Amino acid sequence: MSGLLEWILFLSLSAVAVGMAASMLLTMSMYRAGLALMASFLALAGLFILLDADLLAAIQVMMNVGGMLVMVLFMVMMMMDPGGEMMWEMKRKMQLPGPGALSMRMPRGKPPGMAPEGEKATADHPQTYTCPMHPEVRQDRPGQCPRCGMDLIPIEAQQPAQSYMAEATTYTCPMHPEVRQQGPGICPKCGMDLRPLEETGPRAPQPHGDKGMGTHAMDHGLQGVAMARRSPHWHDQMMADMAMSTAQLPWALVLGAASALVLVVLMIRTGWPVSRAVPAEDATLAVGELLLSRYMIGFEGAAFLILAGIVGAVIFAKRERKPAPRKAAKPPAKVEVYICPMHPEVRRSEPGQCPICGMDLIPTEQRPGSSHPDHGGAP
Amino acid sequence: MNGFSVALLVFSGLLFGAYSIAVLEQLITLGLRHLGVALVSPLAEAAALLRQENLVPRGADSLLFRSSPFVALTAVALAALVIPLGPGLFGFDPSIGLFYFIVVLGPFVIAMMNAGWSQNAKEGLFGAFRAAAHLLSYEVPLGFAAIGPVMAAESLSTVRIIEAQAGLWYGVWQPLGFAIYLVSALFMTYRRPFDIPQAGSELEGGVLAEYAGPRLLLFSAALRAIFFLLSAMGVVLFLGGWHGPLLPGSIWFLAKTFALAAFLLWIGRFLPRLRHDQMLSLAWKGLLPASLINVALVGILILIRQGGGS
Repeated sequence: MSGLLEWILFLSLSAVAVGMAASMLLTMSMYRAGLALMASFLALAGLFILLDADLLAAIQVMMNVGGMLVMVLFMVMMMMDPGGEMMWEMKRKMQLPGPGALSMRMPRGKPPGMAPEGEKATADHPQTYTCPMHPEVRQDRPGQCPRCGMDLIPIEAQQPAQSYMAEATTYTCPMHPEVRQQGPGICPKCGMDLRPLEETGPRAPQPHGDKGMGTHAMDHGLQGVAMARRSPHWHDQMMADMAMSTAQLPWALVLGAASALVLVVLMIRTGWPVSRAVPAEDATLAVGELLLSRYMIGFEGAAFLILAGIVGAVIFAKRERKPAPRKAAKPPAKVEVYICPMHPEVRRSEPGQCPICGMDLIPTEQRPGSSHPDHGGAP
Repeated sequence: MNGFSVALLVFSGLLFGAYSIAVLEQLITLGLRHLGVALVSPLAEAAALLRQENLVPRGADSLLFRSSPFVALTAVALAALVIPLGPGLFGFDPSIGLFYFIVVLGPFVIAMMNAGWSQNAKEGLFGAFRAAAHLLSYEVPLGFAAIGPVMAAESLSTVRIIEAQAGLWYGVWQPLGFAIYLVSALFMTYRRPFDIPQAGSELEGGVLAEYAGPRLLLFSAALRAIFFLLSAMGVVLFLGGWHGPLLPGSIWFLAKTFALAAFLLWIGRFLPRLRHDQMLSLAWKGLLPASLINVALVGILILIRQGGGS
């Protein structure tokens, strides 16, 4: 390859690698961040090829394409807002002016039309404290709950999301949709925590949101703004949550610039060119032969070890014993209690006669017109 | 021959392969009596797609949506360079040929995922998730299945692997590896029974749901071309490549490739589509241990043949 072409390739690949690394930091969409990192690694693989290190380049591509893909996948599935729509929406709502809207910096101040700090709010209506366990306990100063002794907490700091939503939201059980009540609680049937009605329906994560798609992420963003008006503390938490990728940005930039500087200094101090050693034509062949012939036994041993591990883990693994709830629940239901139709206080576990009136005892289920069917009562 | 004309030849060969796979699909569906229809209908479909509007859905991530078909086709075309159609008939023969093949096909999944993600629609997104789950399923068993021939030939070069099979095909004494390779190839090419990323009846095309016109044509060409390539690589690894009596090597190679592709298409018709959890458990509980056993068996056989190793 001619020298000029090599230089052009080197410079363009380096530019792509650095530019994509920077765009990974700067993009708001996690999916795009993963892709940018992947592209950066691909450009790095191109640099390896320029250095005649084909195998390294191939390994670089394989490892990073697979790895980044898994990372992207997990990010998309786990994160609330993989497309970055929420942060954009926040910025729009906060009316960040001019080109600032394009920057990664989240605005530090409060959105327009908000109370500057929490102190003013406390002056208007004094802070009320309550027990996390006993909401009926309320007082206007910090202290301990008279019932359980726990420290009282300010009412506004106590799960503002739930208290906010509890005001107007119907809650339902994820398993039993027929259970509905105003406000949070537990399901009377299965004991699970109730959830707000709109959160329990089947909901697919939306890729990157758009007007008219009704995205989950955007709803959250708007909700966050709505809640921010209610509680400055909640607002700050929300901001910190969403600025997760950006709060570390200055540090990342400083660290990256510092390591780049160190590298440049090292390169200048080292004699250039480093070495003129040209790898032998059949170097990869020699490595391959070495790996595949002499160390094959090592490979086999490793394969057997992995195989033994998989066999042990998968095939001989005991299945988790489920706590059979039906079996536990059924025996008391099956116990038949015999009572006298005239004297309900007479209860026996076996058939017989009533000691008071001599009538035959009957099982509780068969008792006609039972006013209080005491199933499962102890005899 | 200079590099440009080699690249052009390989690319046209790849397109021919994609067309042939489309013809094979029609033949498997219609039967041999409708050979004329099978030969013409892929061309007619291509012409119809070319005349369609090149739609981009509202709210789509435009860059990813537009680039995905090209990324897919590029990955396939790059991988095609190392397939030797006959003695001396290949794009180039690097010493890490097989490894290069597997590596370069990796971005194909990225193209599928990008296509699904960028549509801003549920069908595509689910297709993208499933495509990624596919990658997690097939990558390891495919690599382990391909290690068998590499160990026997003591080379990663595709040409040397074929040359080493002059006596006995590897498929004959590595049937387990061959079977694992075929299942992984079905995985990798999103063919039945592993076609849930683009399940027609369930996700309305999955990752391809929003594509239309020339982009859809490019994507379908890439999907057929990758199937052609995986069949060809199966011939390289296990069916002796161009080796065969009487006829020229390239004819043998193509005949074996199309026979293998037809077999895979035919057997896919009788298998029910696997759910993603069934697919993952098949890959990790079935294919992976089997491929490790295969590697161990092949190693033992090689050691026995060499009389204690070199």
